[in-house]
Amino acid sequence: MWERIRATASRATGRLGMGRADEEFREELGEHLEMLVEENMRRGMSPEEARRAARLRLGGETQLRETNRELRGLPPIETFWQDLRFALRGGRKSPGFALVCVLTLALGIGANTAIFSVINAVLLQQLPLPDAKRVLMLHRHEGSSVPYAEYLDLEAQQRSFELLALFRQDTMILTGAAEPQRVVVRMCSADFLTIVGLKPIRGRLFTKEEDRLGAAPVVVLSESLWRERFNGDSGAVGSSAALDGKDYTVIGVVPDLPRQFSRSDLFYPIGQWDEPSFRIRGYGFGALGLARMKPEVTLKEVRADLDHISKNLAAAYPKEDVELGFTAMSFRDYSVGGLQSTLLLLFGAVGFVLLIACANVANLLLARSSSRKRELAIRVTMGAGRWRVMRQLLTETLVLALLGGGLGLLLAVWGTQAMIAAAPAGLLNAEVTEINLRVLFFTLAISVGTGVLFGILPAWKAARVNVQETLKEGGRGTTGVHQRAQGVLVVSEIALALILLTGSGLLIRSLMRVWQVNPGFDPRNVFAFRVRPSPETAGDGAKTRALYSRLIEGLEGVPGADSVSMVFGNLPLTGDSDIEFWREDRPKPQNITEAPDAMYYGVAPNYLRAMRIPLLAGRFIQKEDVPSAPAVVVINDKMVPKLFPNEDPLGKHLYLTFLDQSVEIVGITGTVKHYGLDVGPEADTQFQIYLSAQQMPDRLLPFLAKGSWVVVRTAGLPTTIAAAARQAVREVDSRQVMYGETTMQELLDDSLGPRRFALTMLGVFSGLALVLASIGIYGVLSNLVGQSAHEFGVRMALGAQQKDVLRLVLGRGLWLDLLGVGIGIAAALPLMRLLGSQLFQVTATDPVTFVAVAALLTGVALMACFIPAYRATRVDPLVTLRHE
Amino acid sequence: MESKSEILQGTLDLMVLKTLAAMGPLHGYGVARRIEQISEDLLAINQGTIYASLVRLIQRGWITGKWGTSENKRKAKFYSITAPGRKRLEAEAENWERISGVIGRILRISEQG
Repeated sequence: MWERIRATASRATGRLGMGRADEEFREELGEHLEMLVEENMRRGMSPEEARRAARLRLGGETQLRETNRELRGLPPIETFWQDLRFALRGGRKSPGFALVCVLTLALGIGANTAIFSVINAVLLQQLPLPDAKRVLMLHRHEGSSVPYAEYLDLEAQQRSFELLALFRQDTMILTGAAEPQRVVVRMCSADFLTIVGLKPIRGRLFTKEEDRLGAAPVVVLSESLWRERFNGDSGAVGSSAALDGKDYTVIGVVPDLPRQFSRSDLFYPIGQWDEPSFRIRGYGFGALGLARMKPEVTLKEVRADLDHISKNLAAAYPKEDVELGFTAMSFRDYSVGGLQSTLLLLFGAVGFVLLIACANVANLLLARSSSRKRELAIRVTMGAGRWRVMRQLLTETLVLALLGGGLGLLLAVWGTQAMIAAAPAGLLNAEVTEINLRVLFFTLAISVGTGVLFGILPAWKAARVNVQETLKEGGRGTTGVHQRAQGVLVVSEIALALILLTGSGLLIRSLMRVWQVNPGFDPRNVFAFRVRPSPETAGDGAKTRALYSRLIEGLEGVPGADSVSMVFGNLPLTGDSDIEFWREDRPKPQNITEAPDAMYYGVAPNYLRAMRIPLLAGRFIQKEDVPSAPAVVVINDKMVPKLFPNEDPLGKHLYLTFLDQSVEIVGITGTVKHYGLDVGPEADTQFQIYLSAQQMPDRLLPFLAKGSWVVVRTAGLPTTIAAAARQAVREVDSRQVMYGETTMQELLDDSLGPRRFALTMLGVFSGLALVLASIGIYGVLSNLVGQSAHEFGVRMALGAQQKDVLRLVLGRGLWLDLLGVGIGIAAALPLMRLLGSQLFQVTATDPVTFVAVAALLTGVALMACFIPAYRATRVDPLVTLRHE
Repeated sequence: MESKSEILQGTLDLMVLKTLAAMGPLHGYGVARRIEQISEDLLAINQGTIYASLVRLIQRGWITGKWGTSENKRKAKFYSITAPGRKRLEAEAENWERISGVIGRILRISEQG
């Protein structure tokens, strides 16, 4: 064994000094010959005779050297170099062919590498958290927030976690030497930063003792804020920072949160938050749990533990926690979210594009191998084994594939950037453009894989070449076998293209359907922005009310502003908050969870005019609806049949939990698509209620003011009034912060972002597939016409008309196309279900899409056929026949 | 590419090895000459053929080759056997004796039968 390795190694190193070793051996043979000559002359031969006899006894020099070379070199590598040289020479001889192949492959491989590098970054890369596999996200029910009171019970009773934390996002105003600045505050338990794995750069993290009401107020800064606001000064630790008018001691600085979390400027112990309703059972405030499991615990055991605790709490607090159910999901699933299915869908789609590219190149190779048949036949006759011929052809295809892969890699770098640009904000970020080792390896593997894939059929066909037949045919040959193989390839290309086109077609139809949905308001020409009142104002109900009145008055004076209003709670498409309620003339439900929910909007009078939401009955909120007047509510039309069948709701009263008061119904409005145009019918039944912003209770105002939006309907383009609006806001109160400027149209477009992204990507891929498939069918027919020129010549000499020839060629093209379309439809029918939620009011088997796509593909295929068909009719019978 | 059977190759390699073991360092011509003499010219091979053997033996580390000057003041590559080569020769020779003995016996049996 050792000797064999040694021999191989010696051969391998021998290869490197091949030229020198050969020269040396030649010298050695020369000396040997001279010795033989001398010996012969000693025996009395004449010099010439002696030399001749010596040559005979030594053997042919060339052959000896060849044998010696073979022994020294590694034979497979040696032949590989030969093949490689041959392939490169071939490439130089027909650069057009090589260029088309390489470009086609580069497109296919580049698209795959681009998608893969995104998948690699988003799905495959390790999460930056320590022991990330054990980190879980906790919700109350699926996706809803965990109330603080319940969290404390969970913390006390749980047995599955080594670390547990609650966190929520809020915004505050940071004041001090510089301009007031709105900062994103992450309120979190002491262990949050430990689970995320952030270690202090300066100072320390806060402790469990500091994470409770009444403890000394402390904050930890993020590195970005520390560098921007505090100039990275170590002295910042220990200094004090004013947030919403209250002083906090800065105790540390930590690196920014990894991208799986939304941006946070600073961290603050959630237990210190003094919002009274925060500690009420069942009040979530958008807080979520983050936990690290104990190493020996499984997710199943965690779920059992959580179920057990939920049951305990439901028994202890039958009123508030009756339907409580904690749910846990891995942090990875949480952070990847809906992106996984989109990316896998796109990965499948680019896989198809690559298959089409492979089929195309295989087709080109087949077409070329008919003309190379003679060359190969001669090689076989000269003693090259079939395996040897195959290997040579495969080397050629590998060279093409690797060149394609190299170019594809460049395309991928560019493609990934284009993809990030096309993706909706926050979906992908710049990190994914990184081409790392794994991506490089993927590209290499895919290049070699495609090289073998598209090379194997032509090579196999070539190796089975019938030498005598080929040589007899004089290289002309009708090559029925090749045409059948090419036919198979083209049919698969068309089938694959049809699948991709159908996918894009269904997405286009879905988007068109979505656009037809009436959002319930008029998104055109509405400027929207958020306002954070200054801490002094926000703490006082009367001041807050006065501020909003003055704000609206000020904005109404801006030229170009038609109607101005504001909303507490949430603007459509930006989030949601709902409250439970019941009819006051009916008994109060036993459990709060049995009461219906409604989305609430605390608005100023002109809200319906600014948003152009129709008023169907009664009146809307008016200026007169102030705290001293009776509290009123306007409900949406969806509530009427459910709550007041065969009754007039006007004048009836609702009791609202969150506000803890009774309100009189004074009007009915249309329904707004709060969650976006493409949200399914179940969310359509949402109840929506409008309350007077002025009538909101004092204790809720500081909280509500944080979620306030101002909306302005404009006469012209909404963004043109932005500067004047900013000026007006500053004039009303220079200490408040205006942010989040947008338009309703923009919010609506953004809500369709993921859908448009999937459509754009799939659209590009299917366009590519269409082009490649039509090149494929064009190539096959060109080849057919070229090979059959003789036949056409004979036919036309015998009286066939041009239109007969045209029909013959087009017929062949049409036949291939229809076969491909048929197979494609059969395959697409089950596959389209994978589009799942991407489809909107369109079934996966939508006949319109299928027919349109089949017609498109057939039309394009026929166009691709027409050029070769036309060329066939130009065949001059005399010329072709003379060729015999 | 190699038309000769493994046995023939092995036989030639064995002869080259034995020659080098018996005669000390020799150049290609010397090895070929010596084999011809011993076999009394019964092995009518091209002298060049022994170079294939020499390369194989060098690759296995059983002999080494070094440029030097011949008795006639010619530049020549001298081959000499290595320690592993000697060991190998012993094993191969023993093996050969055994096999040739067996073959001899088999041939005698068939003569009797």
